[in-house]
Amino acid sequence: MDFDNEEAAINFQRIMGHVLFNPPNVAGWPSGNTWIDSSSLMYRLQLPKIVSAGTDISVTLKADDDVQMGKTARPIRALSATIKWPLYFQSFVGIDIEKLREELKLFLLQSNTSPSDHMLDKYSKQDSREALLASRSILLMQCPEYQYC
Amino acid sequence: MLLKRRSFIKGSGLATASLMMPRFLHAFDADDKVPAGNKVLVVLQLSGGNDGLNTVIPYRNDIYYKSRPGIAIAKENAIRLTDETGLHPSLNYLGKLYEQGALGILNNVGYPEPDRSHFRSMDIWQSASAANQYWETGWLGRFLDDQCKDCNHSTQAIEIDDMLSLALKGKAKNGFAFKDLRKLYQAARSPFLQDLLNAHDREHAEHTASYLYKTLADTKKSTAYIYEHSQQVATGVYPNHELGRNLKTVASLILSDINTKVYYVSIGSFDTHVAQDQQQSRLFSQINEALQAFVTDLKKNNRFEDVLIMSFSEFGRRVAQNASRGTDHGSANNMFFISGGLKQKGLLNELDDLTSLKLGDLQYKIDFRRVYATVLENWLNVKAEPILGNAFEPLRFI
Repeated sequence: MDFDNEEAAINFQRIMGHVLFNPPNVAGWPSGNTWIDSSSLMYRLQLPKIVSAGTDISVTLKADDDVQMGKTARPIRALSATIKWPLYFQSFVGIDIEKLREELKLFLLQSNTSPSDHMLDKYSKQDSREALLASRSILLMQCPEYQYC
Repeated sequence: MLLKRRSFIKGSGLATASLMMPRFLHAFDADDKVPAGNKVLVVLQLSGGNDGLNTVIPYRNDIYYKSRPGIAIAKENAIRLTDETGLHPSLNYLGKLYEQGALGILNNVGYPEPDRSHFRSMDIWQSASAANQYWETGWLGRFLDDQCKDCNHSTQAIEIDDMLSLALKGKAKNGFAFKDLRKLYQAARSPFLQDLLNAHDREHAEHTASYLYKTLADTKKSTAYIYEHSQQVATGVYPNHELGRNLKTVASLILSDINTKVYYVSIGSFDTHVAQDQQQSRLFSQINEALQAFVTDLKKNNRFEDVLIMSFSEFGRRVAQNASRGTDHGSANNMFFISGGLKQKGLLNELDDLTSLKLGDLQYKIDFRRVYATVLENWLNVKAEPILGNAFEPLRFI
């Protein structure tokens, strides 16, 4: 995936509450269950859809006065990124379409549980192999399980 | 199960009739809402370190004028409070509140070994830790833990923002943050998420992502509770800027019958290193307008006695101005308390002592955790010690 704007990639880390190599304080990142709350979870669950569909979003991050020196934070709007689907599809070349559903789960989720195929089928596009792969991947990434990856 | 009258009317065929009722008739529903006497706290965070000395102005003090030749506020421009003290010219509505006995000002609030980093000092204020402690929970989050031990939805503390502050993060429960309730409500109602939740409920198994499923379910439940029980109609005219809109949301929630006791809003940035007066005046005008609309709204609905607005900033600024007509990070600061139910009004203690500075900075006299203890014990009616982790002597202004 290519972000059209590199700052947007950092900002999305900030929305999700974890910026790479930049813990909130010297105590490190919050442990246990405090790392996530209602708002950050909802952003995380919506993120794959937002990026893939280019939907509009407006989020204002908490001001960081140590960096901004008095300037006001502007809301982040559309996060534009180009997903390199063809590259992604190559990982699944040669896999039988019947086995595709299982492979996708193994590829995206690192958990022993996952949503049922029956339910995922209900929301996946089935008209072509590519459409199935893309839509189902986005769905799996919206599952709470994916947040542990 | 306790059936609330409004939920009942909504659920029954009378809903249409009720909607067609003129607004003044709805007033009879009043005792159905959060009962009068049920205290609400609104925290107003001034992010960036507001300059307290140009907020509450000691206009008879020579040291003040000598230290700030370019930015000190002249006596004739300040809003007069007493012979010695005035407010910043943009805060004229607060001057009116002072005359009405609805404003309390506490000077010299801070903590030992003040930290000059915005981020760190804000963490200290929000978590109520000491300067050498690093806590992962906030004081209002721990209040929430206490309030919501086995409650259905943790909606006792709400932040009007896109992201949740440390102040509202508890050990077991987290507060709730939103700017646009309708958007959150709709996102939480997505059919795919609903199916995921239903499927998860059926499994009953110990699950890797159980905690996240639980958070998701809680989010859904809480959003629905707030959305369906609030009328989303504030009754006054609010200024069209961020703080105005946010306080309008707070008012509409206070006037509905949800169980929220704490609201959290922020405005900034007060980090006025350069050309301080323009920036501080602009922000104060917004605060002034927004508070005027908010307090007028509360008074009209007879809730001003039950609502306490408390302002704070992570630190004050240095006594002397810098070379850019601004001020740099300092230490102690003042706090405002606005309510129709104050026990002590006006200036609650003496002004900052400009003769005994420590390396050019004010020395605090009141630990901010004593203020928190006061609000918790005397306003929100809970024991402060377990929440603050230590005993702090409450003050008596509420």
